[in-house]
Amino acid sequence: MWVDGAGGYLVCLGNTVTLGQANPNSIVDVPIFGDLSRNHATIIRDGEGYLVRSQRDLWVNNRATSQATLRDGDIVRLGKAVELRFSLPCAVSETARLQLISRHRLHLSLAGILLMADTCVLGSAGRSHVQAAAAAGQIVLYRQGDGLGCRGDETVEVDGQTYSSRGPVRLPARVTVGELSFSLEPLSHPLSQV
Amino acid sequence: MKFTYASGSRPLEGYTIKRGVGHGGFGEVYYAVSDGGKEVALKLVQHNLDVELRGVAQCMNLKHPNLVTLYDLRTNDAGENFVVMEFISGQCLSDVLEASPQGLPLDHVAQWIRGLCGGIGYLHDKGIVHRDLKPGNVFIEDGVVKIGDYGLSKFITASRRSGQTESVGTVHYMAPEISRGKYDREIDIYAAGIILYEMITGDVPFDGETVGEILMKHLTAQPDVSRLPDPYRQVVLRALAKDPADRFASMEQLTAGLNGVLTHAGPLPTSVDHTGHSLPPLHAPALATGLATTCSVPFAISSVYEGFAEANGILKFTGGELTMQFQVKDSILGAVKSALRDVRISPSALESVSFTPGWLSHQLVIQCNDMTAISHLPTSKSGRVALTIAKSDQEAAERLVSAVHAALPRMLAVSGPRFVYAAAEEQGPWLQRTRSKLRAWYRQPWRPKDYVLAALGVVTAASIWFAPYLALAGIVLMVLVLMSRSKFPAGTTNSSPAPVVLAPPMAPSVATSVAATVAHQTSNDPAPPVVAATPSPVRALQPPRNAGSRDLPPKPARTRLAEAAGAMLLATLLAGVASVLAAGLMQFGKFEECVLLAALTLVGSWAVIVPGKMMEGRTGDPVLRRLAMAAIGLGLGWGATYLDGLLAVGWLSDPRPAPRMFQSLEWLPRSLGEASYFGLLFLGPRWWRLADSRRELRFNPWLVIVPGFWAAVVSSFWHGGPQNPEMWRVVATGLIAAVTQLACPWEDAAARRKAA
Repeated sequence: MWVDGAGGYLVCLGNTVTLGQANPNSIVDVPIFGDLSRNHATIIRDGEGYLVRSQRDLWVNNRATSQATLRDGDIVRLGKAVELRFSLPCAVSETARLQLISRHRLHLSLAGILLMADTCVLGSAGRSHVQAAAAAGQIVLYRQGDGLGCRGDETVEVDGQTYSSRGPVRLPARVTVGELSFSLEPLSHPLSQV
Repeated sequence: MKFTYASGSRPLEGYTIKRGVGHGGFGEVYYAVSDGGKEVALKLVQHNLDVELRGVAQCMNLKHPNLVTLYDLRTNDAGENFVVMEFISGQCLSDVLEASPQGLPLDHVAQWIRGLCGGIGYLHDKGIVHRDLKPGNVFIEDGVVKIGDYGLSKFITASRRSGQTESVGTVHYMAPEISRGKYDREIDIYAAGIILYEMITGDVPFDGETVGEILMKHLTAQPDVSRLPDPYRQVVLRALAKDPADRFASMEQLTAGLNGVLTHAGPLPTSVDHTGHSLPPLHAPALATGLATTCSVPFAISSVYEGFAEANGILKFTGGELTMQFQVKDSILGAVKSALRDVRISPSALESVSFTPGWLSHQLVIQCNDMTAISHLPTSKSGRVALTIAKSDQEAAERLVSAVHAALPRMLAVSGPRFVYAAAEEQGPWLQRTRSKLRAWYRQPWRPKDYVLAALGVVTAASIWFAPYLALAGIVLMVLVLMSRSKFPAGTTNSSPAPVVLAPPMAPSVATSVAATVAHQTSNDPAPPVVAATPSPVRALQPPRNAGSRDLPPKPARTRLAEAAGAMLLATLLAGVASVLAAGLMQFGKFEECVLLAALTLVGSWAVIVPGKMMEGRTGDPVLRRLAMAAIGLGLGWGATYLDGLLAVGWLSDPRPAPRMFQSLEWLPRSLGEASYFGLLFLGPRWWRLADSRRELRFNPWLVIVPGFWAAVVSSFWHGGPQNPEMWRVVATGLIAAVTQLACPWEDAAARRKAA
């Protein structure tokens, strides 16, 4: 997902998200350029929250562990140096955001990874999953059946079609609501989209 | 934010736009990926076309680590012009400033200004004036400062009006002469001065409601530099001079004005936080004062975690920052588990540092509130690192603690970490008082009068056969010293350890040397704690084994040989004089006794000087060294026994009976029994220290008393009862120790440190 004026995000829709080393044959959802195993850790979302699990080197808030539940603000360290901040910015949404805080990166310059549950909020408020600095409005991306939909507080334009407040989102899609715009494009990985 | 091109569009052959980044003075900026996967920034030039394009063409092949690299200038079929540039994923200085409205930490300021001056200085060197220097054009990526938008604004006023949001913002960085149409490099220096001011204080020096008001202030008002710390104040004042001729002539000059600060600047945080939270808390009063203090100490950590890992390395304190350079090893196999790492702990991450002297080694405990800083160390689960510092490096460790401490108050004025010297303060008040008195007495530099008094006292006590009492006093004294040194109190354990907070030493230079005076604080004293990091009297018993050898490289063998030869020569003279004196005091009956004592003293001191000089400046196992000394002692004993027989003195041969312990072992040669005493004598104390030119004191009476006491103990067990040590043995041992110390050259520790 590319949000104009804000950044790119990797949106993972699955309940289980794997993290590991980026290489040409990456088998994980979140491939990181770092000193990691190919399949280093798994983050699982269940009804109660998020759980990180790894057979490898895993630290949560500087505690070595093999499994931990994640809370807002937790720092997850994989391997020797790859560090991610886990946050749950929006209280009413289960969607979580992961940000690389060490000097590591994915294959593209991304601001974060969204582990999308039911909804994902884009806006200028601090509780948004994607913070767009100059955005006047707000867009909520939500699951609709097998696909996605979005709603805004004013007219929603999806791929040139105008909807009054809600519109379906089919990949690849271009969504504009007022000053705020983003594009969703599929990634070659089965469970995630950029 | 509206962008002309949406994600996925390809306005330029070979590049796919992913998202809009922002609007610059000249047009929209996009993040795009080339067909080959290269990330670039595409700038769609919409305004001031010719100006922009000429500027870009001029700068196309400039290369500098602090400049955003320009890759290409392209035009598409529709006639739109794109500048293809390096994509910077980090933060922009204006975002950083927005996140810290009170200003940035000074070490970050130094890093930014260094990058800024580097990049702009390079442009000036190439004859290019940036003309649009402002926080919005300065970025940081992976700790490297990058300047963008250079060479783009030939006519700066035009570009400002065309900018959509910046028209007021950039006026803040405009030099007064711009109103007269002058655009020389001095305007960049002026802008750098404004940015420097803004980074430190969080505010621009000239602000106002309208563009006109701000411009008027640029022309007439003086900046309020009272908010700036010292080296920055003059630099900003000069950079903001109204007349361009009064400013620094070049960026290099500006950098030179800040030199003392810039060279010690720490790195900027390498991690980029998109919400700006990673910025450390503000500590604006931090300043360069403590930055010159540098010292290092080797340390070791072992812990039972992750397969018994241990780490060892060097802890350094430089410019307000602790750096640990270490390697993690497998403590069982000894295999290196990780490469040599460098971990910096910035003052803001430090919570406390405490130093606890121990019986076998010392502990330096560092408590960090930023656990990521030390998470690579094996014992960092709670941000606490306990470092073990070998006894031999006590001095270095104390210097480290006091240096950290000296720099601390200046670095963190508000809520700084606490630096604690956790000495064993558990004992009762009486013991403490006695200890501190003893300590003060011991640390006092001895005047010649004191030596004479001490020598007289010792010799008198010895000559009137006061030995048992002397021995008793020695035992009491030693127990006292050991108790004061022990981490665990001998009697009371109910009172909790009361760490003593170190008061800031007066000056770093004082702090780096071991403080000589002691102000002791009892644990129940409510007065402000004042205790200097002070070595306790146990140093007398166990001074650093290779004192100073880590400060300075070991002396070459040739020097040591020369020193040994000189010392042996001097020892000959001293041994003769001392023996005659001792013979007089002890009222020897025979001249042969005096000869034997002299020979014993002379050969004995040689037997200390030669191996001592060989061992000097090297690290070695004290046990092996002791065994070697014991072998030498056996040889000495054999020789002494032979000489005794020759001179018929009767100290070591008939008519004196064989040593008590050997009387039942009649098959053993008599001489071996006698010699074994000397072997044991040389096995006990660490004799080689006496010859070390870097020993603590030129003449340390303790190092005479301790061997003498040892001789009395061995002698009582070998020959007589505990009440009856043979006095000549004690005297001979004392003489060997005294003569060796007096004969061996000595380098003053203070002078040595000064020289280093």
